[in-house]
Amino acid sequence: MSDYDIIVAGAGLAGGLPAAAYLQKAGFKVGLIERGVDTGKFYHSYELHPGVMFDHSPVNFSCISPAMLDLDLEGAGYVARLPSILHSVTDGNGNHMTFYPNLERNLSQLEVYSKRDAARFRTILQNLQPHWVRLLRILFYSPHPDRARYDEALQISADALDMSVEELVRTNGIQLLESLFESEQSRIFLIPLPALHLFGDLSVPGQGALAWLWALLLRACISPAGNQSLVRALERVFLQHGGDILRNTSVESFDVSNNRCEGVVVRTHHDDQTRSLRAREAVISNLGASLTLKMLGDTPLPESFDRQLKNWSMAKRVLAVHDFILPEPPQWTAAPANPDFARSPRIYLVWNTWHECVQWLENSLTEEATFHGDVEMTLMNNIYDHSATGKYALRIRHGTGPYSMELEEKRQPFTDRMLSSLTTRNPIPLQRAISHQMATPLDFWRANPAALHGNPVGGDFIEGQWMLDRCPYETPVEHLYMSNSVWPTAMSWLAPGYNAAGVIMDRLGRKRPSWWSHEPGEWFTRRVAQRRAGAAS
Amino acid sequence: MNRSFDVLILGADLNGLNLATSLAERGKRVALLDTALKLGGPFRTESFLTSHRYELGAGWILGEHHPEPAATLFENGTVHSMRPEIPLAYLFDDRPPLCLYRDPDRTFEQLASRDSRGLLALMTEGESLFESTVIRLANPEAAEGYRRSPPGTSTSPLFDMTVREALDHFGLPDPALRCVLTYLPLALGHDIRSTGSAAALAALVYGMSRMSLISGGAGLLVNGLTDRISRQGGLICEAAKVQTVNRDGNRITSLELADGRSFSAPLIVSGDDSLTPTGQRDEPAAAVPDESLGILRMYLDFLHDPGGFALPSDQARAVNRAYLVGFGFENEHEIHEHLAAMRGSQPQRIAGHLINNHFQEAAEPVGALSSLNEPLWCASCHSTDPETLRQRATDIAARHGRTIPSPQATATDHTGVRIRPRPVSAMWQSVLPFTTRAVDPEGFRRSYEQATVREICRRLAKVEPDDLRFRLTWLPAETGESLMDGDLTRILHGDLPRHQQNTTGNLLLDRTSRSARYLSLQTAPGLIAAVDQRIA
Repeated sequence: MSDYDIIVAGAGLAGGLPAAAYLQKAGFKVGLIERGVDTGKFYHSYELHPGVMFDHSPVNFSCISPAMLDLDLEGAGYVARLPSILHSVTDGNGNHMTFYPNLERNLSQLEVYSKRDAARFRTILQNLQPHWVRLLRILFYSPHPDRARYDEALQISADALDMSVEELVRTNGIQLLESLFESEQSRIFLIPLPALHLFGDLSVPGQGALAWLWALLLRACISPAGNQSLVRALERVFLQHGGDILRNTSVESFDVSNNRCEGVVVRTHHDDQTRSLRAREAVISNLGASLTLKMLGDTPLPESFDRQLKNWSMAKRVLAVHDFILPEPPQWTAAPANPDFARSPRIYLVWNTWHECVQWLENSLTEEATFHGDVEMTLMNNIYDHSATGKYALRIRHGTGPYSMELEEKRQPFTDRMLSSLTTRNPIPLQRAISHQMATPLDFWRANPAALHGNPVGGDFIEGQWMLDRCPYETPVEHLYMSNSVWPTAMSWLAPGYNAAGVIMDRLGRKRPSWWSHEPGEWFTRRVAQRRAGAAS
Repeated sequence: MNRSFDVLILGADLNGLNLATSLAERGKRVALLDTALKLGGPFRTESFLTSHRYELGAGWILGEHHPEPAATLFENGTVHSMRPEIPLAYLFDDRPPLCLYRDPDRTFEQLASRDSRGLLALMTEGESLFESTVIRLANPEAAEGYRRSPPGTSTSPLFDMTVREALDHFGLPDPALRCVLTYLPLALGHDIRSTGSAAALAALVYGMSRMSLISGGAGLLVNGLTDRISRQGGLICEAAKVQTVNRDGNRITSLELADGRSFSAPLIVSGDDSLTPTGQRDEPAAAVPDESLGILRMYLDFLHDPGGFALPSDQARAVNRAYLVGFGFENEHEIHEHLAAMRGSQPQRIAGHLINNHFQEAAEPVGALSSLNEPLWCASCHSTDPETLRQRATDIAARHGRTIPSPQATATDHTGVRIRPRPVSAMWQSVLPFTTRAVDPEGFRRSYEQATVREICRRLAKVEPDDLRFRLTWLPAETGESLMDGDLTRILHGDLPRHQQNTTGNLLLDRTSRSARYLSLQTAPGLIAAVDQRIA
């Protein structure tokens, strides 16, 4: 009979793994249950040809996570470095911009279109800078919902934009960009990250303006051993401190009696047998809202919680992913003007005009999305060393319009339209691809049933789950917690597990150990300082 | 940035993982480095973009009694082995399928008594070869175990025979059985034309009945070991590409990785010759034929459940439970003709085996997993001298009416170690028919893939080529995999791995050969013993 202090159901990157690692390191005996062979499924790295590496989620925000230092992920073998080129944007007219960590280099490119816009952008970033850590703390690394903290974030954000809170909560993303920037080109260049719904819906008042602003807080890094090495490092920290990973094992139900979660019933796949595991202090569900509800079976739940889980809706916009292996590097019409463009890890293909962008935002929920202006291309060769293979790996992510089961039947038309849209604008040799794999939301869903509709951009910041409507970390069922992570792709900052672990510590009256004390962004700030010191000497 | 350890292990295949586990659990500070993204060497379970699990490389292990430290994983329930009832089923166009059952009596039921007697004799010979080899590999006492038997001490006549000669020798007239027995060693990567391949055949026919799979995928075995290494505080680094080897005389003082990290240890264990002071093996490898077949790997995922094979229901029931399903040849002659014909420009026939969905037993809703291994012609030659290699490559290419592009002075392979050029893989690139300039390589690849998929769909009951939603193809030039020319034969003959040390330095070379690595867990104790001896 295996008994644990804490059982974590589901070893996802953002929720289950960090929660388990923090709590195990804090002295609890933790059992982590994973239905697959490997943990952190949505953060896998894989080789479609030997030596040609792709990431399931090619974006890595671990550099802002306090877990970098709290859990000493580098000591566990994780390597992260800061990129010298962030991303590039190009429209169909050959206009382009490349974003660097160096603000001045970005501003000088904006100045070509409008000196006023460049100055405005500088002011916003300067206004945000002193509050960066505080905002990261409130938005990511605090349990939610918390009205007071949310109000504080609103106030900081309104101040940064030089508007009132009342005004801010009435403003959507389109209105905000139109009010801030006079040049349409500036708006088109500055919208891609939030437009791909990393944070929230740009067309919703308040949420739209904040989604744009908060995207400016993110800092990305690159992990030379693949993004999966982050998963591996978390695993190792957990194991080093004595944790158990139960692999190839599914959670069947939560064992609740007298409104108290006593443990879980698991099924081991090799023999199809079920058994009970007891959890003395807590059970954390990292299974998402709908599966958590299912695991609770006929446990009576307070009306409001029941309703929240049942009505949990993922964003309706979903994405498809294509992996191409090309025999030659993609050529970019924008590249000759700035050689760094072709060296970007990521290139966004955006709208030709601001009007098209606005139209796309308005139509994307009601009509089949066009690929025009909603394409993210990750050039894996610019992230990883593929030189020995002589091949070029290109990941393309694009919107597919509202989710429906019919999406499967549309695979080919989608692919054809995307290919023609891309290749007419840039001479990318997609037709000569050595290999092309496509994954639709149905694939994502099958891979991870916790991700309702297979939406790669679900979670805390989208539509119905905007900030104050998040699932609680602590549930009305005693000893049952949720790590509140539905889709970890955009969550490599490891916040949900961090928060769930913190809530449990508080609930059990335990003081956080001294190692559990680093601020979000601290690792990043140290690394930048080191780099500057290195450059100075 | 330099970190020092008691033992530094390069290469996280099962040998490296077992060694690291054993040392870490005895309190040694170990670091395990691999150039690959995923650990486990040939044992690797992967899922790519889809939810289905694939076995890349070997999904099976041999024998039931595994030595420590892996034994603990089986005992404590971390991993579970399954033994397929039908290791191999072979489909014919004009005859019922022939199955090799784990229980030989059931195999014999399909055969005439004369063929049964011959097969039994072959398996009996295989049993003694297999058992004595496994015992020798698994017994570290006989470190011994790692000394080459004097040539000629083996009494089995099979070491002097090809597969075809053995089939005659054992009096096996049944064309279906001859086809299956010719196919089996080829499908498992052995060159059936080489002298001594008969010994490999015998050991494999018996070995199939001793084969087991890891329930849920071999990745669980790999993860079971990495979990234990991590638990003991061992460091594991994937995608660790050694950029610089710092030496003091014969001694490796530190290894610097491409990502800037640096490691040092009083003992370094590696299977990589390039770490030796000369960058070469201490002694020449045994002579092997200079041509062989490469293995093409295809992994397929269908939109719908393939629904099993298109066979009468009683036959389908048996075949659908098989681990390997072979097809493509109607008799042994076609196999030999195929091998000869593939030296031309394009293969004439699609043949291969499907690794059927053995994960279904793991109760994962995987539906449509299948993979195809396809032997495909290519040439390789084994030598450490670049000029010899180049000359041989030119000769081979000339025989096939091709020329070789100018030499690649900086040839590297995908493992990332670039201290010494590795000419073999570069040479494949040069002589593969579809990588020469005369042929459109990608066009070839595509037509070949399509033909293969069509053939598979023809065999399956419910799927059409259009139902394919995920296809992954690796060519031999990419994986560096070729048929093993007599490798297993040599091991059976007693040519067991000897772990070399450069006595003045701190490097210990893991000399386990490829076939021996497929015997997998059995080879680890020898390496552990060699390291223990060195540490002591």
